[in-house]
Amino acid sequence: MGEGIEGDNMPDVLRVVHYLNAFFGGLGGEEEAHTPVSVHPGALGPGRLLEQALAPQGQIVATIVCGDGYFADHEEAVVAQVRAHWQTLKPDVFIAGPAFRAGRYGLACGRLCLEAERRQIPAVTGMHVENPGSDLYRPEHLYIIATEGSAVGMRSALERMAALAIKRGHRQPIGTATDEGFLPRAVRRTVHTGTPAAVRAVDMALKKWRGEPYTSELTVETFEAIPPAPPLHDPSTALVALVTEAGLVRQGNPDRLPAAAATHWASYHVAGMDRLVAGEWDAVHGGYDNTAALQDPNRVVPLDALRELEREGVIGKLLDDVFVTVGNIGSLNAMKRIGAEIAATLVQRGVQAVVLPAT
Amino acid sequence: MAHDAGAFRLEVGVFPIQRMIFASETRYQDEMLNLDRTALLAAIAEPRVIANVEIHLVHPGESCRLIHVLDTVAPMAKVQGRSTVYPGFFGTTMPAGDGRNHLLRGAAVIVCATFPEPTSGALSPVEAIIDMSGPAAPYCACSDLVNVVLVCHPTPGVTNADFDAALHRAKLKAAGYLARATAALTPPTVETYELSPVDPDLPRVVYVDQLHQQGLMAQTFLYGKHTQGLEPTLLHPNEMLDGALVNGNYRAPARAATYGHTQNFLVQELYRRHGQDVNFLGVVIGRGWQDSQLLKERQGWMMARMARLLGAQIAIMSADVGGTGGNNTIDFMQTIKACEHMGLQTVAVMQESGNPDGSDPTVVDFVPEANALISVGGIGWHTPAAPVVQRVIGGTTVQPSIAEEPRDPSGPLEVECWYGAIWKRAELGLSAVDV
Repeated sequence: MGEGIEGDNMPDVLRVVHYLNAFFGGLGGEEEAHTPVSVHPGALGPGRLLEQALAPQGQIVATIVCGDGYFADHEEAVVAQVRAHWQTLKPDVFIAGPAFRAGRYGLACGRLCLEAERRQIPAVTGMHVENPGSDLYRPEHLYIIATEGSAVGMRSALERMAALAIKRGHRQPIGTATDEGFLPRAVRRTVHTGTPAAVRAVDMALKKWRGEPYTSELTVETFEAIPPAPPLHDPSTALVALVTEAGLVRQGNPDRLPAAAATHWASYHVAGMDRLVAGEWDAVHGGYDNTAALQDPNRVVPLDALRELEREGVIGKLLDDVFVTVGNIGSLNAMKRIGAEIAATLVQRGVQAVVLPAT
Repeated sequence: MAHDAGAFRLEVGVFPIQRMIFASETRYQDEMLNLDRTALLAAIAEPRVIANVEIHLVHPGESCRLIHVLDTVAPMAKVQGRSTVYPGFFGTTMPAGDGRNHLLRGAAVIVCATFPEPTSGALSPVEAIIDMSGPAAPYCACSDLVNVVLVCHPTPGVTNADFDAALHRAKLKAAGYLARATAALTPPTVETYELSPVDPDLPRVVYVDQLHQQGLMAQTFLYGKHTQGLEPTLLHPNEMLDGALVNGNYRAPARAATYGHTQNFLVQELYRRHGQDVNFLGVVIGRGWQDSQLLKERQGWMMARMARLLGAQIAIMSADVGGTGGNNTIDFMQTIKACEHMGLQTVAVMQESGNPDGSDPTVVDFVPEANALISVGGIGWHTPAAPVVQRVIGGTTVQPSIAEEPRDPSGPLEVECWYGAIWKRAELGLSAVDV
């Protein structure tokens, strides 16, 4: 999905496949929302305006239409059908929508664009920032042109979608989100502004104080809410594992866990150990004062307490290995992968509950 | 004598430095310092703790790499007035920020060392490197200065704590020794720093500075004392210029620096604009890395409360010149939130952690009140690779991360452990954008 170098064998005229819902495809309104997938040669509805914006560099070879309700009810089947059409139509670029604030339409556009990208077909869609498709698909790094809430913004949306689609189709460098008009897609790059941070800070503060418009340089992220797992039916029979981001490692750090920004994890065999013995463990996590952890590693990874619960029959059994990574300044993407890898191992070994001491 | 302190009027006699050479006598002339190495050694010697000090001179543009960098210090000395520079480390502590200093501008004292006892976790020195030339040099603090490098070797049996305390004394004594070469000279230029009354309609601004304090090797000194239990307090910017804050933080490559505290970019900018478009009231300091969420929230309110009681309308924040990262981002966000709730228009300078492909969330915590942030970048970024260098000072191996084996320090380096990288990115004007 990144920028590329313009190739030698780039097509003169890009083959564009456009996706519309049944309403914009002229197949009726809400009552037609259950219209199944159909393919129409050339441009349809707003696609005609899109084609004007694409010309002469791109041409709409076909329009795929599907009702939003039908898509929602048969998502996987629709995706499979669209994939099959792409194989026949061989698009250089896929354009979906714009969906404005229409939620189900936005979700369909986002899903199909993601599917196209996974098949190396550059994709562009458009929607309002509050469309649920924006929340769902921006973290997937899709290019979503920011539009107004309704079709009154059709022309400007299509013009920007066409301009971006041409660049993407020709593998030309893509500008910033501000330059191109797409919604932040969770990809950032460090740039030179030419003005020191202190000057920019005071300038921004004065604008803010005067009530003048300013743009924060850092869009604050929203984090995924993780719902707690349902309670264990019967802990006394459960196999329980200890997993930690506390960076507690065997003395000598044999697995070379870093102090920050970990990209891997380690596991240590604790079968037969009643407690973690000071001196045999080090705490390499670079974010906390590890004096107490070195004096008694059980206070970071409470093996002693879990053994007690095991003896008392409160839990069934503790897994023979503890799993460790370093959470300090962890990349969320790396942590997601590490979490998934550890979880897969735990599931394979029949673990039913995990204690996650954090630091 | 009545009223010989507390005026907070500081004159800085500036002596530019272009070059330093070793000589038989320490003398400043024509932007050059002749340095008597033996006399400097004698001025800083503490053989009970520091067995041996190598002294090196390095200039910008040299094919030279400094490794195991711990701290950098601006060479300055008090030539008039009752207080001292870097107050609290030697003799009586009284409020700084008055009198006249002599400053060697364009020079720094750099201390490099390896600690005698093993460490791990947060209270550890982390590798920090300065390349004096090449593509990485612009991203290394002090690469554009003439540096007196002190490579200090501990006396066998000494503890890390004792060695560290001696390193602070050594670097500050060296900074004073160098600047005192100009004591009898008339400075080419004198800069006067005072917060004189200005147009009362100008917005009243405080700089809110969150310091790093966790323990040995991750600490900041205020008037010679660590800031572990510090409640937010007020500094006149002249106290910072005079060295009231000294760095003892070696925790990340992009750490604070004593040089960075005395030459803090926000203090400099607010001073420059005092009376022009802002009314600079002063600096609120407090420590980040509080130990719990409740203490972090408390810290935010205590910082904001100090700013509010000063009558500030605008708060400009940074986490010293070392930047925000993990843990301290939470304290930082709570301070932004509290400032906004107390009616201050708040702008905060932050770094963006994240991987080179730019696809990670960039901060570990946020509050909706943080609606005016300045980014110094850091995500979607690789510092340019550094080539082989001819000269290495500070050690025989580098270990950019404990996850890597130590290696030859003169070889090519493609790392991010450049000393003062956040501070340099702020000065250079780096930011980050959505792409």
